[in-house]
Amino acid sequence: MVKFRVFRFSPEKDRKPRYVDYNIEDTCGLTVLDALKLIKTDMDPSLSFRHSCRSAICGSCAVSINGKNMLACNTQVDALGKSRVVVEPLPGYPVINDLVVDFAPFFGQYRSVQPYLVSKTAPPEKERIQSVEARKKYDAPAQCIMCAACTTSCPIVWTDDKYLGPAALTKVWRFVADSRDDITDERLAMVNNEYGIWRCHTMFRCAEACPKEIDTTEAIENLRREVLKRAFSRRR
Amino acid sequence: MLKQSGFGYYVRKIARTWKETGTLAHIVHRVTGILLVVYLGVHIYVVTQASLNGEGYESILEMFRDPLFAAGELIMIMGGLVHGLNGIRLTLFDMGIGLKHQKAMFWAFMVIAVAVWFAGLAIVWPVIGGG
Amino acid sequence: MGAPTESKRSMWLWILQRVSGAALIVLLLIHMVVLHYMDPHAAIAVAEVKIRLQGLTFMVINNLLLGFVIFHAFNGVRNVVYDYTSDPRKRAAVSAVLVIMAIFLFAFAVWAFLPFMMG
Ligand code: HEM
Repeated sequence: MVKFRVFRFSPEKDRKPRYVDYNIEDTCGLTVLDALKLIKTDMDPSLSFRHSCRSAICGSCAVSINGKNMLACNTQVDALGKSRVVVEPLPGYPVINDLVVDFAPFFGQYRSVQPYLVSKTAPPEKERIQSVEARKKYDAPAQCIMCAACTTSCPIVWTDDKYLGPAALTKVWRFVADSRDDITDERLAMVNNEYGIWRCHTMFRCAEACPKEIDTTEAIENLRREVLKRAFSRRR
Repeated sequence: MLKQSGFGYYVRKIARTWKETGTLAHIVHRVTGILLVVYLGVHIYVVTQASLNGEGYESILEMFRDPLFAAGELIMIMGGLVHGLNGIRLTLFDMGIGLKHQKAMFWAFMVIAVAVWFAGLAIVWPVIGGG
Repeated sequence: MGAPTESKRSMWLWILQRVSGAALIVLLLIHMVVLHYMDPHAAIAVAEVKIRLQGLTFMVINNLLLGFVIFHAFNGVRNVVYDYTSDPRKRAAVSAVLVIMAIFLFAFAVWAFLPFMMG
């Protein structure tokens, strides 16, 4: 038997969050998302959480499981090896209801870094083809599913609401590393300030939280070195 | 909506997740850094007394012979070693070195800190221990 | 999006935090070895402090140490404060106070040791 201690907060009824325990007898083969759905159908239909694809692609079911940000759909209950599993909303962002947090700050910061390819060359007939070799440079960061597990794991994000955070910064690196992108200088200017790359303290929490195993900490370090390289080569 | 941000939230949340090596290293670095700043202030005050107020300085020196103060100094040296060695670790990451081995590097540097601390203690022991 | 001057400042402060840290390793090592370990029995008497500070090498090393450590310490505190507040006005106010304190502390320490350095 596994005891699920679930964070509950209803803005109409509660002033403070509550933790409610739900016991599930047989967790064999169950993911944490399966368990949440079981709780919702069999025990308490009022429980709110986000989910969609069930296959670690949509990025909507990230929650905090035993204190670590993970995708509920990608985490086997038995693999946690615990008889008590604490499920809480992602940290840092305001709670709308139970496990549902407000993603407005996340997408605000995401949009602010122009998260799309910008090319100054004439549009090709079909697509801008990238070679396998050149794509290797950003294979990992291109896997991002925008679940916010990294950004909400970062303590700087909790106290500095203007900090871009690892997801947006990794997105910038993804396009800086893309040989087809033509606005590298603008991109580096977006992150070279007091709310960008220099705020990171290399705690590795973001990289450890990423369900796609993107080394977001390394992406931020890569951006810093890119900024430094250009600053010092231009002066000569 | 229920706010999940601000300094109080940060402290409560870190108190639950500080055991992650990267987080631990950061917190230890921050706390030792701040302690060293306080120590720097006291140190500059004490040492300038040597020039500004010779007698006052000698009496402060007398105070520092107290075992309690000696212990305090030794703790500060440990703090400096931990901060400095983790500072090297962080700077290596900034140069693109060792990011994949951050946990092992933290513990390796801490072992060095302890070793250097004992070596230093061995040198000054005849003075602080034997009088 | 930071103005170019803000970009330059934040970048340089970050670089200098690491450079000063690296310099401090060397300078603090010299400081500790010379003052406490070369002859641990020697008392740190006023006269000795005075003689030590008069050598040109020591004068340079000590003032470098003082400058680097004060920069590193105060910029470090600034970083800590910046992490805990995003308000640009509060940040600017804290920076201003820290700059004044750092300059004062450096000037005070140099002034206090001036008689020693001059002999
Ligand atoms: C011995 C050599 C030293 C090295 C290699 C070193 C290195 C560093 C580095 C790399 C950082 C930046 C950390 C970050 O951005 O996360 C830092 C921060 C800091 N250092 Fe040092 N440091 C040294 C000595 C000192 C001393 C003597 C003091 C105090 C007088 C000091 C006070 C601080 C403070 C207050 C911070 C800010 C803490 C933070 O951001 O968490 N450091 N140090």
